[in-house]
Amino acid sequence: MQANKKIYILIPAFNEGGKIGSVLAELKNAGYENIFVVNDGSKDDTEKIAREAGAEVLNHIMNLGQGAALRTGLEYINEKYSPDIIVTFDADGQHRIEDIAKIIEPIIKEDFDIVLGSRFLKNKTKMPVLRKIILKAGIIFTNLLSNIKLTDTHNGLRALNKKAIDSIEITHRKMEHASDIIDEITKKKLRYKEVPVEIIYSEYSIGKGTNKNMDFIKIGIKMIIKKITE
Amino acid sequence: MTLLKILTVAFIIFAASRAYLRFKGKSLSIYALIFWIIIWLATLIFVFDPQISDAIATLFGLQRGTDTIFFLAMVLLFYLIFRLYIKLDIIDKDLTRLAIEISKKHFKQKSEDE
Repeated sequence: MQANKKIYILIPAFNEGGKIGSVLAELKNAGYENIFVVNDGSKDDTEKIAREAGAEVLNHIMNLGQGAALRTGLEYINEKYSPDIIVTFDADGQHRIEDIAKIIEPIIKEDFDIVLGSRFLKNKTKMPVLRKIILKAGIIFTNLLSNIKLTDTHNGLRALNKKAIDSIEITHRKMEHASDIIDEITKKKLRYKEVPVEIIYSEYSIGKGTNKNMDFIKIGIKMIIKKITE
Repeated sequence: MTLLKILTVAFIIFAASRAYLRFKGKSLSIYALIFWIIIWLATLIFVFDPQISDAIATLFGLQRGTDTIFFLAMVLLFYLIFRLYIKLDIIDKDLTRLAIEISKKHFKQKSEDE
């Protein structure tokens, strides 16, 4: 598929039994073989469905948060398989499979360390207005704190090469991990690129994210405290 | 000696002895012990010689000694809450590290068994 590169798909999942089966089936159909799901203490049958769909499933004994789930997956795959590229992908069907090839390409062809999906770069994504306002505010805030210029700072679709996998340290275990990753890009001087991707806001994914608007405020507070205490 | 003074002294002896015992048990550093001894000694001085707080008040540009005590108490409380926050954060990070390691170990073992 992608010029002999060892590519791994990493999916953090918490109570995603309703969607993860079809997401994994689509990934398999597209030819992605190395798929790892980190089941973050789900109370539903996420683990069983993911395993039956052919993914490798790591389990958290309790719900730790998406940041911790990504850490578990990144560390395990890195220690065990020495990957060329790891793609982080959401379990709720928000991401399009065809966007994976688009975010991998700059690493393979242009030698970037990390490629971030952006829903605002070509602005194809239709999203609720309140979500858009909060996201935009979050982007300005993160860009200011991390001294970087990005159009989308909280997009779960990313591709990391070996250098980025080795050097990025995710310190927060919940949603703040997205800001951690951005922070690490500047700190570790990683070569980054944004690629336009489309996010599909379905009833399922919006329902899963009902508390996300409040989460962004909490993320902001935690990032300020992190900056003060580090 | 008023009842309030007796109670305050009893509490200070109790709190200072707790700090000392924790220091002996190696769960409190020497710097933390000194910090607490200074805090309780200062409290003792304020209880027995409230006039001294007026002198300190003038130093801070405040008019009344009691205002100074409240002000210092507030600063101290904020500082302690901040320290608690940091400690909780460290515990949270340690627990996360532990849970991640357990998860990786279980999966590794399972893969090897299969």
